[in-house]
Amino acid sequence: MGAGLTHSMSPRGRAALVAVIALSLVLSACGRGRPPLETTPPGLHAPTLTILEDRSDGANTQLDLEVVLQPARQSEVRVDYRIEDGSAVGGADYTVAQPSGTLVFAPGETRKAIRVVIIDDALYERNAEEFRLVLSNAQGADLAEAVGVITIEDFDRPPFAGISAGVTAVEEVAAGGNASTVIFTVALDIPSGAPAVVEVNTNGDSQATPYVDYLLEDADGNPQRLPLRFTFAPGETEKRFLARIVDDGQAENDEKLVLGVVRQMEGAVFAPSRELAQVTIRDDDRPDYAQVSTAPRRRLNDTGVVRFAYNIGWDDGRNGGTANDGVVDRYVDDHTWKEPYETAPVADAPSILELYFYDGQDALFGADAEARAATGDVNATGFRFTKLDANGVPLADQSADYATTPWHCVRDETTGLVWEVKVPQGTEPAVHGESTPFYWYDVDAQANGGEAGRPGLPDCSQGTCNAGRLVAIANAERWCGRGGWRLPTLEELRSIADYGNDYNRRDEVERSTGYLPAPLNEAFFPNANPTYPYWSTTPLSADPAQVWGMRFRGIPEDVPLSKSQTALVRLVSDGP
Amino acid sequence: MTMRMNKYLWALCAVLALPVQAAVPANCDGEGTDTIRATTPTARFHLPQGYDVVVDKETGLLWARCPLGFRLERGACEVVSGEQRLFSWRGALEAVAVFRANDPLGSGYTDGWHLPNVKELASIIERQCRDPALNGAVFPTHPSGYYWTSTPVAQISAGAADDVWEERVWAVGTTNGGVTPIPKGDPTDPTTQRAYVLPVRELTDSEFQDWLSR
Repeated sequence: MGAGLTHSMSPRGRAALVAVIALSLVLSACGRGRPPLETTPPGLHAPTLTILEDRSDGANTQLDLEVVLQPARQSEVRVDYRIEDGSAVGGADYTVAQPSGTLVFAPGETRKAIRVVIIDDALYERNAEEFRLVLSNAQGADLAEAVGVITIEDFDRPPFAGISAGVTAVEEVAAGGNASTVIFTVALDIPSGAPAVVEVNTNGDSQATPYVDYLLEDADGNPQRLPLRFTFAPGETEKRFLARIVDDGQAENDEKLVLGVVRQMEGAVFAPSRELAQVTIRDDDRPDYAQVSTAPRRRLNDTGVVRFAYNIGWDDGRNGGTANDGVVDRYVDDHTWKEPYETAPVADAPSILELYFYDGQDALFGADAEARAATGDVNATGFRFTKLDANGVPLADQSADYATTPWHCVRDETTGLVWEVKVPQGTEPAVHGESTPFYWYDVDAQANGGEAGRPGLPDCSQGTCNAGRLVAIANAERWCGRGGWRLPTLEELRSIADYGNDYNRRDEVERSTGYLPAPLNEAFFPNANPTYPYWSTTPLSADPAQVWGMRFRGIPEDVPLSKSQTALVRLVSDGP
Repeated sequence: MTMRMNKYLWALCAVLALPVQAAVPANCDGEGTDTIRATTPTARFHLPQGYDVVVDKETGLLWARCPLGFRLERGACEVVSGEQRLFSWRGALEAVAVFRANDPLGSGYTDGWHLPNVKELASIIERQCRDPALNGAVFPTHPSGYYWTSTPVAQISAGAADDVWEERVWAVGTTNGGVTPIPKGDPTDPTTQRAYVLPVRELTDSEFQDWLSR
């Protein structure tokens, strides 16, 4: 039997081969009528055998290698021997007290033993290992088998390869503005006796894009490409590499980077329990969309409605009869300021038969009513705004007008929110211009209503970008000396809406502009484009392609906006 | 962007897939979506034991849990036989005045209950839900439809012959949470506009703390 063939085979393959040979020998014996094993030639035989390294007690195995002389001789027989390393190495895989020497067979003696110790090292070997017993210089007999091959079988399990990350989440930009890095460790759970090669790659859950969102480097800082291949030398159990996070400046969802040991190379297999390393890259550019507030209790802003609806019964003869016949012909509602509980009849309007004041109307309760009571001003509202300069400092003169002392933000003292004040279109910074349009874009599938919208251009100065870019710009420049800028929710946008409007000015404004006055307090929110709606973060549950917006023209209107259109943005901040 | 490599090998490991963190849904009676974050998560509210009212911890408002004409029974807003459920705007104001005077929910207040203004009513809309767009754990089994606010619409009606304000009031449609002007409806003509009523009351600081302990 060729020793070289069997040694290169797996144990199972070798067993199969042995079975085939045995069968063929049996068949040939049947055919020729001759026992197969009587072919052993006379002379000295070096042993060829296979031994299992592993023992249940973990101890080493003593093994006597017997050189056989056949048949016995009448005179002394001498032969030199030496033990030669093959893939098994003396001292590591086996030990032998006398690696070489001379065996002397006394007359009639047929067996001499050389004691070796097989070391059970618990290290996985890719293949069975072997060493050799070589006979030479035989005197008194022929060398029938000069070379014996001792094969050490090894059923030690191979190591499991695993991967882990030093952190579970990382900011896109670390504190101090430096690039964030994540150190990954690829490890074998036990040392291997053979070189182990593993490959690492991303899997289908990985959202971050190589070269765009992160760069890979080996432990020496050399750039690496996916898939990463690591070769563990025998005994080595740990390799490290590094992912350098790229700050792309793009508003995007938090992204997962998922890496795993994707391929069993020689000497290693999967480690099922820890084959994935997952790191969430938190985007620093993303507007904080629709976060549910955990703010302490705050009173809602009132509506700004300070006038009452009256139901007036007119006796004008429209519905038959004649005017002033005592029959109510129609009802209309009149928002003209009336004192509470003023009653009919109205002396100078004899055709008014009935005049109902509806108790419980908006104007009768809440902050607006309190402001009216406190000031005696029938036009007072409950809004409490403070003008802030470019550094976020309240203007010393809160009554200053925009032309002489422009302000950049307004703090709502009731809600605590700070609002961006737009700049006149055509002045700098243009991105804050009152008519600068933006796309709506949010890739967060748990917040965007089902569709991300349109990213627009990455550079707002080149054309229409998305609202997240304005958020990033405002936070980077610290508009009004603060961060935390984001797109408002629909209810936040509603909070500054003035549902009462300025009734007294409506004719004048409408004549000069063609529109009813913007239902924002103009004294605090100048440069408020009344034509186009403003984005909120709030998607429509009924349509993934739409988002709620508000238009501030005449009356504050809730308007569903298509994510494919552009609209205005008024940023809000409740951050530091 | 996703790398799709070694998909077969990964498929072998599918059973080892990491759990996906899901959005916390509101308790929608009707339809909901996990692609929109809850705007009125249940944790924002306090349900005092033994009362059919709810405290919004964020706004400090005390709400009736069921509209007028409904009663909370076994966690659902059940129709009360013989009681009016749909009102004209004037009828709504009058009905809330009666509610305020009689305190049918045993709140201990005979003042302050009012028809919510537009900002108050919009503040309890659950944008994750529709039909109705309310958190069913807080406002269970509400009908979908218009709910009155106390806020009149300040707009000249197009083509109005007289220089009067249009006879409309802001309402909130609980079908999808839209805030819409609707006609006030003629109290004497039941074929004109009708809508539901959900009373609300502001709480002082001490009242607020008191309710949180109940």
